[in-house]
Amino acid sequence: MNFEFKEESGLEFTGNWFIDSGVLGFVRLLEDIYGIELQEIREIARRKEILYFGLFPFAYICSEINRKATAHSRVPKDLINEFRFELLNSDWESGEEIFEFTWNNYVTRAAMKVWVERKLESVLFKKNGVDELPSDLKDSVTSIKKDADELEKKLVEKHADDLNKILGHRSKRFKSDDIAKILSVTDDDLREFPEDLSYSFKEYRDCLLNLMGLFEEKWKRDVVGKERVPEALDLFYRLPIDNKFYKNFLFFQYSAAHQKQKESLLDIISFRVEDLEVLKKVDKTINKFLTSYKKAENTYYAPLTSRHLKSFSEYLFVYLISFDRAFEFFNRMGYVLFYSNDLDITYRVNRKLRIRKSKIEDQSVLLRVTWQEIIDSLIELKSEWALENMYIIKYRDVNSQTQRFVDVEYIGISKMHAAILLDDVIRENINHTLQVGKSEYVWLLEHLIQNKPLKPVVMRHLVMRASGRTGQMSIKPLIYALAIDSEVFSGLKACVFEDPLEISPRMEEVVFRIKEAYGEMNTARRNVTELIPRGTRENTLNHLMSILRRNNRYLFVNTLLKILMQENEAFHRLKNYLFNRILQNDETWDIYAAALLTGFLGGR
Amino acid sequence: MPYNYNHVVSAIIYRRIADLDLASQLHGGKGFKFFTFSQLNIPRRKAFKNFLLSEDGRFYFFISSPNVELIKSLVEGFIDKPEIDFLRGRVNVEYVEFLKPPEFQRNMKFRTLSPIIVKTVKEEDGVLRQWDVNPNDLKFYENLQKNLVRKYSEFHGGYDGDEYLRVIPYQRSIKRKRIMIPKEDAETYHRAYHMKFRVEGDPRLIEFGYDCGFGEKNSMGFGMVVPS
Repeated sequence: MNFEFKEESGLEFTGNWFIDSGVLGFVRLLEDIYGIELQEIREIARRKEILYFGLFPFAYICSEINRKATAHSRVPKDLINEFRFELLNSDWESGEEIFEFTWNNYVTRAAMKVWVERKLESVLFKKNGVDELPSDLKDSVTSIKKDADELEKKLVEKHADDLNKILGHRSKRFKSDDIAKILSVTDDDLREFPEDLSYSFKEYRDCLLNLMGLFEEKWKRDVVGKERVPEALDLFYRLPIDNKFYKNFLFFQYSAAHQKQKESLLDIISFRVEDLEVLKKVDKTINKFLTSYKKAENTYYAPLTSRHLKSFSEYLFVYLISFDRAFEFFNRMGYVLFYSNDLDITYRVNRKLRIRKSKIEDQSVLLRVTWQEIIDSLIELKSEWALENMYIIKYRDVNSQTQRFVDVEYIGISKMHAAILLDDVIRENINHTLQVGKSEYVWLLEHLIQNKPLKPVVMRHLVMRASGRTGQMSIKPLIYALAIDSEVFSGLKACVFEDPLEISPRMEEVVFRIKEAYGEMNTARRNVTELIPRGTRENTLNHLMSILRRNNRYLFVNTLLKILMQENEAFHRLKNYLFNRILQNDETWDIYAAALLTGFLGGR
Repeated sequence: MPYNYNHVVSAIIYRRIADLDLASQLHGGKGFKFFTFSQLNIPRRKAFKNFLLSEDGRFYFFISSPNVELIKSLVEGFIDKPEIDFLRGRVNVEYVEFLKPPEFQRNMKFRTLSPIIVKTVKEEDGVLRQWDVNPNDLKFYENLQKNLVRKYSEFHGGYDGDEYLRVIPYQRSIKRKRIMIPKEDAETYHRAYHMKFRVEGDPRLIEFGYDCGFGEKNSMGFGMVVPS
């Protein structure tokens, strides 16, 4: 086996799929925000504190902000790059120091625009929005809001049709969604509308900008760069982030004020099991499938105590709250994750699925893309040991109330299949799609991986070829497919346990035997093509195919013998094949017979 | 063709074994030959006093052996040289076919395609002489069983199974056949028996009997059977 234990970084899978999904979600989170790939993350992970106390919390908050942000409030790329540069190029004494720096200077800056947007929405559309403001803001906000309300009324009453063109709807009042649209309208855009509308619209937009300016100023003054926000305004400055998956968990709770959010995130990262009640157990606060500690009604797993898991995974909760990031949403399928027990393969395959997302519309395409990437990874990473345990996990929804599995599909490749696929010659030759119906094609490689026999596919293809209904001409893939079938499906013993010492040599042997079988089949096939006249071949092919479909070995041989009695040379070349591989071969004679039929087709 | 043609067919078989080493080994060896053949089947035949006539010149027969190489070599021989000397004339092999063997079980029913011979040794006037035994004599069954086990052991290099073999003929099916085989300027007459019978025993032994023939002188065209 070629696996090397890679990690000083500690960033590896644990073998528990739930935690591992979190590890993958963690990696994908960092990749999304910073544009760095797994290998680079592993490099950074050698400085664990920077990764877990700096890069992670900032990325996590950024992704939560961006999840619902407008174009205006998304975290700017420049800010992310600036943070990353400063973090990686400074010296730090502890994780806590890094976290303080990250939160106070960058999380607060990243969250400013989204916070301002929410406050603006609250003031404009919530009944008591202004009342909830601190006193130093109330007067100025009330005054601007009054102007804005008058302008809004005027615009809606007088310019309903034109507003419809700008906002896409008719309404007696603006809606919260309209704010982003109004702010994005430029002076140029307004030129095509009446001057009256244009003037009032600009005035209304200025009101919004003034209000936002007030909020921004306030946030900068009280929050950015500060160790603590003013105690009385703690809830006012709550980061407006919300995650349906972890609705009731720590910093996502609506009651969690700014300081609580900050502390909770640090608690999660430092995994302070003793200090915080909620971290003492891993329960259904995180996932519906875990035990509820209060009412142990839906016990699917045994109760898990964090204390036990701490030594198992140092940053357990970091991974657990990244769990939902591992899944990708596909139309008609829901949230899908490919999982194997190897981080590299899992990471690569899921990344490929994500890239091809727009083309994946159903299960068959999903599997095909998955297999292609699995095979590429297999060849490059040579982690065939990981391939025995692979799953496609599907959630209908990642909502906190309906975390429901749709399906967990086992798609593991056996050691034997992995060994076959690792051989370049065999793999290249069965990496072919055969036409088996008018518009039906079968990818041989996929079929093999799914442990389905290849001979039926070859036979269906031969029927197409014999009736001239396909333009496909190649012979090699057919013979390789049959050679694989003859070895993979022969001599299978129904034993539950196999002597481990015997497995490895058998794996090596199987590739050799497939190539031998290929050689023998190909020689026989060529002899048929070259030594039996074309007319005879064409006249007999359908009859032989029909005999083979009926599984009548003796009739097959006798029919062939009748032809060979007229073709002495062909008989001499084929007699051993006929006797040894067909007549005396109870198990796989039909596969060897099918190989002969390819010779009746002709071609190369 | 004459009624006693066993030696003629036997000669054809020996001549058509393409593997010369195998042929001389079979021909010269003193032990069992491990093959058997059926009587000739003549679909359109006319019987005369001293001979049979195939009106369309066609006939066929079956050959069987546990020795795959022998069968392979025979088929090769027939296909290589389809023209064979037969008595004073020549015939052509039109085609060769393989028969699907039955599934061998502990209990099976067979009928003979060539009659079965079983011999025993008796002392007469102080001299030990060979006698053909008939199916009314229990010695017939005892020797049939011993012969089969011996042949099996010789072919496979031993036999580790149950030697029990029970052969029960259907009495009304037993038909005696007297066959003459010329041997070194003399004529030897054999009393052989066609019959339908039920056999019970180790399927390996039964399979071997099917392949090689039951009873003695199999390679001279005795003891070939098919499921009944």
